[in-house]
Amino acid sequence: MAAPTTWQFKEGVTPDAGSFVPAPKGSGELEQITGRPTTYWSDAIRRIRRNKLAVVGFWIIIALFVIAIFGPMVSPYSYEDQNLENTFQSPTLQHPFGTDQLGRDQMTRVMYGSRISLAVGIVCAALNFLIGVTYGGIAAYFGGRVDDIMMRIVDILYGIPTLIIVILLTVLFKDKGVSPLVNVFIAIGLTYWLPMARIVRGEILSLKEREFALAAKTIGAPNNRILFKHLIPNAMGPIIVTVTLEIPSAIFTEAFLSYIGLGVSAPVASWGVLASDGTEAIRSFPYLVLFPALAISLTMFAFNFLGDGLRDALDPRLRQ
Amino acid sequence: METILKVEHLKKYFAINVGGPFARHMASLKAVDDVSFEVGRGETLGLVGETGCGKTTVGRTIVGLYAPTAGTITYCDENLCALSREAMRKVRSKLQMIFQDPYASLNPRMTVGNIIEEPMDIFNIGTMAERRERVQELLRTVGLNPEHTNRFPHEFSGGQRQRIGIARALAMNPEFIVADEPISALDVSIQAQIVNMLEDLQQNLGLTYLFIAHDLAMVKHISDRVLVAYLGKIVEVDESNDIYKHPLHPYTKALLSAVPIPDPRIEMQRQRIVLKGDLPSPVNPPSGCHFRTRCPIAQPICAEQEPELRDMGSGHMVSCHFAG
Amino acid sequence: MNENNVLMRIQDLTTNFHTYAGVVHAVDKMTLTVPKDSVVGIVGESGSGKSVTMMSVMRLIPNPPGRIEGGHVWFDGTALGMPDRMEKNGPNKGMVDLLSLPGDVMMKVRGRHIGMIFQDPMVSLNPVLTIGLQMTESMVAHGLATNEEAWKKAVEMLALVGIPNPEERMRDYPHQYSGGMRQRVMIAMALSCSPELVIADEPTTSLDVTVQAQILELMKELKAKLKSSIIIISHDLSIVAGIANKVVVMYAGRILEEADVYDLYEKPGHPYTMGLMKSVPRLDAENRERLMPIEGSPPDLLAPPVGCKFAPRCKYAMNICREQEPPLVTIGEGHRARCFLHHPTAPAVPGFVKVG
Repeated sequence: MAAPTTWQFKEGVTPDAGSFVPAPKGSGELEQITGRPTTYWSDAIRRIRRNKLAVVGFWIIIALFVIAIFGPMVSPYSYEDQNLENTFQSPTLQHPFGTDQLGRDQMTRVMYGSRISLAVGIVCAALNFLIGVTYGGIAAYFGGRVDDIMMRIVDILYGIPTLIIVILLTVLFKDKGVSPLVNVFIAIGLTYWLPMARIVRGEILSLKEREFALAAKTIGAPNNRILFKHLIPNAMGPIIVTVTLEIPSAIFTEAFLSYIGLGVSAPVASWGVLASDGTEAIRSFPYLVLFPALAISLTMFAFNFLGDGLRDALDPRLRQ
Repeated sequence: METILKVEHLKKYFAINVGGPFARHMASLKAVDDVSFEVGRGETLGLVGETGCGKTTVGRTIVGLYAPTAGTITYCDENLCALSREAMRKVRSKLQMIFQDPYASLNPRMTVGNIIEEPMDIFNIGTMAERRERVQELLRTVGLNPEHTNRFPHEFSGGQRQRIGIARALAMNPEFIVADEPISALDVSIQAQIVNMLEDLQQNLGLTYLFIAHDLAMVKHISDRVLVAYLGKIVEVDESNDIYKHPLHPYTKALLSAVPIPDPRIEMQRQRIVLKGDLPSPVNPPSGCHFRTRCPIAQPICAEQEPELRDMGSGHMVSCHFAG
Repeated sequence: MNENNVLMRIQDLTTNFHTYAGVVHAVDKMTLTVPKDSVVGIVGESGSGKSVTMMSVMRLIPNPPGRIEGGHVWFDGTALGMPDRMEKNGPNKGMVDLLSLPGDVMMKVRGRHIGMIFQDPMVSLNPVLTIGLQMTESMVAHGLATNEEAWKKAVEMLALVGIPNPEERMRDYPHQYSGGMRQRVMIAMALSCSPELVIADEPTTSLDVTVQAQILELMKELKAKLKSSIIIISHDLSIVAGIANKVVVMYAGRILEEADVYDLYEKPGHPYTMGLMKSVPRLDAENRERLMPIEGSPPDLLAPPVGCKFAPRCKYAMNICREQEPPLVTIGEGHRARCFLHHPTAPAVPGFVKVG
C-alpha cells in the first residue's frame, strides 16, 4: 500500500519546461471574500419558506389585509344597512354569510370587523413594542438596582390577571369622552407589554457582555447609542417573534371585550360584537356566531403559525 | 523613555454570590489585587498569565470598561479616575482596545464601513465624504480591500475581521492600544500576519501597546518587557530577552517549562516542572503569597507575609521571598 | 492475522457535506496508516479536515448534511474479534472495514476498541451524573464487567491518570473538578475499556499552559505503559513534537506531508510545513526576528482551487501547481510529501530538501 513514487499526470496535462516556472501571483487574490452575500434576513427568509404552516399563515394574513381594506369597499352593502324583510337568512349567494336579526349582510359586517381587529392588532402590537422594548432594554442595560426594581414591578404586574386590568381600564376611560375603540387600544396597549419587556431584558442582558458592545463603549459611544443602535437591533429576532405572537392575543382580547360589552358596541361591527349578537340566536341560526368565530380563530392561527415559523427561522443557532 | 501610562495599586473586585442554595452570601472576587506598573511611550508591554490571573480585567479597567475598586490610572500625567465625563471621553479616544474574538467584536448588523466610521460619527469628526475617505484609508492600512465597505462582518474570515477591529481602533488616531488576546482565536498561519501588522503599525504610527495573552512564546516575541501575573498579582517583571534565560519567580519558571517547543529533540527529553494542585479560587486567595499552595519552594514565611515586588537590578522585578 | 503491524489503515476516505450553498469537500481521498503501539500526530488548521477525518472513522458524521462518499477504514480484525468480517486476501488481509459495518456493530466498536477524547471536557461530561457513573457506564454497556468490577476498574483508572483520592472523587460531579482534572477523567474514560486505539481531538486546546503540560506528560506516561495506539489531533506543531512517532500535516481535506517526527521538523518537505514553522515564534529563540507568515487565508472548501490547494498561498508555486494537484510521493524513509518541488525538473528552493 505504498504511495506512488512515480509522477502521474492527468489527461491533457503534459509538463513542459514552462510548467516548473514560478507562477505569477494574482494581486488581491489573497484577500478575497466569498461572494455569497447572505445576510441574516435572507437566510431567515429561506428558512421560513420551508415551513409550510408559516407560509400558509403568512398568506392568510395578507388575504386578511386585502379583505379588510377592499372588502367593505366592493361590497354592495354597508355594515349598517338594515333590511327588515330579510332577517335571519341562511347563507345564500346574495348573502354568503347570511343576515342577522336586522337584515344586515353578515359578510360585509365580518369584513368590516376585520378592519377593527387588524387595527387593534397593529396598534396594540406597536404600543407593546414601544413600551416593552424600551422598558426591558433600560432595565437590562443599566442592570443592578435599576434592573431589580424595574423587574420586580413587572413581576408584580404579572401577578394581576391582565383581563382584570384591561376591564378596569376600559371602565375607567369609558365615560371620559374617549371613543370605545381608542379605549380598547389604551387598555390593551398598556397591559400586554410585560412579556416583551422580559424577553427584551433577557436578550439585552446577554448581548451587553458581547465584545461588540464592549467595543462600542471603548470607542466612546454614549449609553443610549449603545442601547438603541447596537443592542436592540441585535435582539430584533426575538422581538419580531414576540410582536407577531402578541397580535392574536390583542385581537382576541378586543373580541372578548366587545363580547362582554366593554369594547366597541353596535352598530360598529367588531367580531366580538358580532359573536355577542349571534349568541342569542345560537340555537336556531348558529351561523351568526359561526362566521365571526371562524374569522377570529383563523386569524389567530395564522399569526401563531407565522410567529412560530419566525421564531425558528430567526434563531441564530439554527443557522445553516 | 517617557512614561505614558502609570498604574498604581490597582484593585478590581467583583461582587458575586457564593455558596449553595441555602448558604448564599456576597463575596468579593479579587480579579486584580494591587497591581502597579508603568508603560513607556512606544514600548510594547506584554502581560501574560493563565486563567484567573486578572490580565483581561487589567486591560478592561485601563480602557474604561470597568471602574477600579481602588488605585489610580494615570495617562500622560492625567489621573483618569478624577476626570469629568466629557474630559474622560476625550482621553479615552487616545486609549483604544482590540478584542479577542473576531466573531463577536463586530456588530453583525452593521456594515464594515459603518463599524470603522463609528468613532468619527460619535465625536462628530469630518464630513461624510471625509469619513468615507478615512475608512478606505484605514482599510488599506490593515491590508483589506477598500471596496468592501458595504459588506457585513460575517462575509469575512476570522483574520480579516480582526483587521477590521484593528482599523476601528485606529480610526481616532490613538496613542495607546490594549490588545486583549488579539490572536488567540485565529489560525496559526494567520496569527503571524496580524502580529507583523501590529509591529508595522507601531513603527509607522508611533503606537504603544499593552499586549495581553496567554501564549508566552508570542508575548516574548512581540514585547519589549513582560509582566507575569498570577491570581490578581504581578509576580515578575523583566525584559523579554532576559526572562527566558533568567526567570526568578518559581511560577515563571514553571510557566516557561510548560510551553512546548516545536522541536522533537528538545520536547522528547524535556523535564518539566509540573505544578502540583489546582488554581485557588480568586474569591478566597491563599494568605501571604498567592502562589504558595502550588510552589515547589514554599516555606512557612510565605503563608504569613506577602512578598513585595522587589527590583533585582536593571528593572527586573520579582515578588518572592526566595528569588535571586 | 495481519503481519504488517498495522492497527488501522484509512484508505481513500472522502467525506462531503451537502449544504444549501453547495458541496463542502471536507476530506478528499485521505490515506493514512496507523501502526500498532505508536502515536500519530495530525496537525492542521481550521478547515484542514483533521477532525472530520476522525469523526468519519468513528462514523459520527451527522447525516444529513454529511456523507462519507468513499474509501475504507481497515481495522485489525483480530483486535476487533470479528473473524468472519475479515478480508481474506489482498493487502488488507485480516482487517475489517469499519465503514462497512452495520450501525449496531459499529456502536460496539466505539468505546470498546476506539476511545475518544474530545476538546472541551466541560461539554463532553454529563453534568447531572457522577463521575463514577459515567466511567462505569461504558464498561458495563460493553459487557466487560459487572457493576462492582467496573467500579474497581474505574478507581484504578482514576489513580492511573493522577486523580488524588479516587474512591471519594468517584462520587463527585463534573463541576466539582477543575478543567485539568476533567480532562484527566475524559482520558480515564477513554481508556477504561482498554481500546486498541485512542483518538484525542485537540485534548489540550481549552486548557491553561501549565495544565496542558500536565496532561501531555500524563499522555506520555500512558503511552509508555499501555498498549494502545494514539492519534493526537492538534493545530499546534509544538504539542505533537513531544509525543508523536509520526506526524501528518493536513490542509484543505488532504495530507500534504507525512513523516517521522524528527524528519518532519528537521527536514520539512512541503512549503506549508515550512511556512508553519517559520510563522510560529519559538520560546527559545535568541533574537526577535520578524515572523514569516503564510500570506492569504485557507481556501473555500465549497469551491476549492484547481490544482494544488495550497498553491494560492505558496511562495514557490509554479505553473504546473495551478493545473494539477501533485500526488503524494515518497521522498524518504517513511516520508511523503505532496509537492511538485520534488519533481526532478523543479528548481531548487533555499531551505528545502529535495529528493529526486
